[in-house]
Amino acid sequence: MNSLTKSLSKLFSGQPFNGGIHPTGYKELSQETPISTLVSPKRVYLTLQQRNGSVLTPIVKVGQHVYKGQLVAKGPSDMSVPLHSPVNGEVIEIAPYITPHPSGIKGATLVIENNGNPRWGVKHEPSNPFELSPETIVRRVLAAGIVGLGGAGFPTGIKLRLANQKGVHTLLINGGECEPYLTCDDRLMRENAAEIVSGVRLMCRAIGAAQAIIAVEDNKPEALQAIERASSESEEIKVQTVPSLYPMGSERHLIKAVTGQSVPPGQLSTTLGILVHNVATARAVFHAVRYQRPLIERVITVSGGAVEKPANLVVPLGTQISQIIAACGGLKMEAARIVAGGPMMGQTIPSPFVSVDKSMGGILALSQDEVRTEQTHDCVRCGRCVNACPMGLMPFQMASHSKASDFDGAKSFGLEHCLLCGACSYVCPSSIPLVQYFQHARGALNAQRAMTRKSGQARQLTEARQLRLAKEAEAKKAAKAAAKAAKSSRRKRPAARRSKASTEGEA
Amino acid sequence: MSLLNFLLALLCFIGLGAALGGMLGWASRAFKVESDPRVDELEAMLPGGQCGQCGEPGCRQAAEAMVAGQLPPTCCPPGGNSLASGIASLLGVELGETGDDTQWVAYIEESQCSGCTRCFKACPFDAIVGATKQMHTVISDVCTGCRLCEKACPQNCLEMRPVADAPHTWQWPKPNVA
Amino acid sequence: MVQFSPVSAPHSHSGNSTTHLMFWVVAALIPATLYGFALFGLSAVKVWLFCTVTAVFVEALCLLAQKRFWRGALDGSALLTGWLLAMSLPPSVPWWVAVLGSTFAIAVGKQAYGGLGQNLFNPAMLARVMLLICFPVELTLWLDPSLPAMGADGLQFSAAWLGQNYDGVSAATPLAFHSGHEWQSDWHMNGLFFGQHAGSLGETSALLVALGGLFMLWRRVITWPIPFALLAGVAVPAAISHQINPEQFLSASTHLASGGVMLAAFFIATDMVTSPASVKGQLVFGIGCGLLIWLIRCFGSYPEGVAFAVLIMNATTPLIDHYLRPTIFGSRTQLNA
Repeated sequence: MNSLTKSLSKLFSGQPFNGGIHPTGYKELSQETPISTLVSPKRVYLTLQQRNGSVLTPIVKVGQHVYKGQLVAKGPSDMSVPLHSPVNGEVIEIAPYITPHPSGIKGATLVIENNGNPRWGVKHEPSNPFELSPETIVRRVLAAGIVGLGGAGFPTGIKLRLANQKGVHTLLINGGECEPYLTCDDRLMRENAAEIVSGVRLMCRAIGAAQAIIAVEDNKPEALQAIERASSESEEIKVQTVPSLYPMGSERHLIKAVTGQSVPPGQLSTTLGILVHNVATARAVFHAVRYQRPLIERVITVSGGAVEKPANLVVPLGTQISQIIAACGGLKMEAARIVAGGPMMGQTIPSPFVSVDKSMGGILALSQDEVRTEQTHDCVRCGRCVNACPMGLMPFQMASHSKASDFDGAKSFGLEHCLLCGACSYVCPSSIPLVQYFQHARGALNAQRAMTRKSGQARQLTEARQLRLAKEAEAKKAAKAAAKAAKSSRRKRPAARRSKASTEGEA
Repeated sequence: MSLLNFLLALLCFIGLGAALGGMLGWASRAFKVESDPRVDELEAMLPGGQCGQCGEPGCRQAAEAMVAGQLPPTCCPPGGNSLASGIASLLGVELGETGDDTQWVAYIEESQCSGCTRCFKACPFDAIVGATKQMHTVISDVCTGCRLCEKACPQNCLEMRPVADAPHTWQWPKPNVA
Repeated sequence: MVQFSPVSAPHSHSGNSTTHLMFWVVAALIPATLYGFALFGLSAVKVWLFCTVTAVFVEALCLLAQKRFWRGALDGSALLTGWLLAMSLPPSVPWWVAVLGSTFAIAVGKQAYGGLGQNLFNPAMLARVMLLICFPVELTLWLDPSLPAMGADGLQFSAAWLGQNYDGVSAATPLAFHSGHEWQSDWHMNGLFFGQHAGSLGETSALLVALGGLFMLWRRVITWPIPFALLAGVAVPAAISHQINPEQFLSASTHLASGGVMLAAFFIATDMVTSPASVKGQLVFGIGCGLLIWLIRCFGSYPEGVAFAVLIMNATTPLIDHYLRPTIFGSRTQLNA
């Protein structure tokens, strides 16, 4: 039955995986604009608050001079990557500033005033990077503070190390860029194909993979050509086209489209011996290993119907979004929302003064027409969300359970497997904010889990305390008893002596 | 004939009723349970801080009151919504409006603290550290917001504050749709 | 104004709306409806008008009674319900039957369950069955089709076309005829296909209804599983039984082209509210509908079983949705209930 429905759906849709959508691309807005450098910002705002909740510790002081590429903050473990200064200049403040998180939470931020000198402050020893040991490559990647630039933001070095331990045989490079509007990976592949290919070879070496496959969506023919040309001499690298279908950029779906294999739910791609990285990450790895340059800037797409001149820009991390939009000619019409990332999974920014962080791939100023917010209607159970869901879940059921605060019910329909890709909300004819229901439900479940953990901890603590108090009381009692005993024995002892003496006397 | 049938049927039912009723009566004696086993189960779920915020002197009494239906499942602030839903499902009752689920945490204004150790002794969870004549401080990850220390502080330098949102604890609100 | 308060992703939408979908379905119904008007004349137009106008009016009244915005009645769903009811009624029913049916469909079949998206049964079919049980005589009187003919002085309309004497008319639909008599060879396939026979508005031309259905498939208003499974569910047993005993059982093509099968396959069983959501569930639902239609037609006491079949399968939809869920990506099993 399963295989029948699958083959029939495949016959009717011709798609590499079930579900998925074809959102309007809007790539033409910025596709043909070469990557250019933004005038360097006067000040950069580096937030120390990481998205996973940890906070970096600054290792520079206010007033200290820092050079471009200098380590300025580090985290408690390798899970929070170190932060480097993107400019030459002076630390002028460490204070709470608004973070890119949609809630507008403030977080400790390192403010560095740029003195305008564009030169790198870090030296590197020239060496052939392809002769370095895998561990050296991993260490350099970790030290460079590289995270996945596709958006997830997981530390790349850790991913490489784990893949090496798990014996990954195939490195899959994601050149899909399935989000509408975004073109920075496309431009990067067209303009820096050689660096990407070198990065891919280095990553292959680091994880000990026998082959690498660079997957490019079929709507980017020029990027494909450039990558093919650059990789023609490397035998271990294959280039493959995948159909453009959202969410092709999802790890699981890319693997399915390229290799035909499916990662079992709840498991990582490494169980199949495959590791997925983004093209921009590959390039950052090349810079980190070859030149020992940390990640201090990234290419982002500035686009959307409300932006005067959509562009692909190299931006130092910490640059305020308002400055970036101003550099693209400002807004030509009223924007309804400003989004960090793509329109499908990006987050609204809480203020125009938040700054670019490592996992921000795009800045979109979307007009009201593009956002198309409609009045939400009742669910008519049309099943479009079920057909669109790339994970094979039932979004409308998950949403209706979440609406009733039945989060366990939502879980039973697959909430935990949801990618939050937004395909369901995109197609919903009733404009139900399905994704927000899932985010709400997940947040509530997380909070519940935290509370359960906390009350368990509280229970343990109070039991330990009672035990301790009881022990203390006992000890006190024992001490008292001992003291009493000592006292009485002192009183008794002379008597004893007397008796002893008397016995002796008797004797 | 029909009268006989009727009488027979009547007798049958009377007999059946008497037998079944007798069995029920016997079972209620033979299988009598001294206390509701759910009380023990519930007590095991409660934080056990004996903080008294529910109005009962201790967690055992609170569990008894909840099983008896005198207290709602939401009565335990240190347990929060997750405990409330757990209790509700154990008791098989509908969880009413959970209402405000603000998490509170104790905060000591350290400049005012005299080091009297009263809050330290009042805390059932050992969430306050300090020593005599030394400044005390709250381990906010452990604090359940039970407010027992608040009343104990003679300096009025201990107050309850809502837990601040962090990026990983912030929650998306439920969509506000009609 | 830029909105800086948190708004959830995605920040883009397909632009689809329920109203759009409803109007695409209505658009797909237009050719068959117009053809029905041409065949049966003014009485058909009257039935159609009473059904649709009453449906929208009653919907607005219900919304008002619930203190909801009355314009919600214009979202196309009530219009579609009324229209589908009109398509399934004999063109000769008195106006009050149409009004009663339409009122029942909206007030009891839909709003009593909580409005759009909440109803368990297809409202139009519920109303049709109610009418069939309450007014069996009115519901089984059929008009003979009489296309206006080109005469010497322009178009000639028969008296029946003009709706003047439908009191005494009683023609037999192909299926009713078959259940009473031996199958006669003058029921041509062509006649069935193009609709030159007695029947309800939507039963006459299988071709036009099917074209409307294909149009909806092309516009992605409906998906393939239900129509495919329903047609297969009728055709397969019909073909087998016809092979075994052609005397007693009609051929598959006759089954497909006659009565409301095409209308059910493309317009009624595909009603999104009352059909399962997963592909697997839709296949089961469609096959169930088809099989029941065939069984009722061949062995039931009613000549046509589309409405009953759809209602019975509607009742099983929650069950199907509970047990037949899509398979989670990467696993072989579906998520357990």
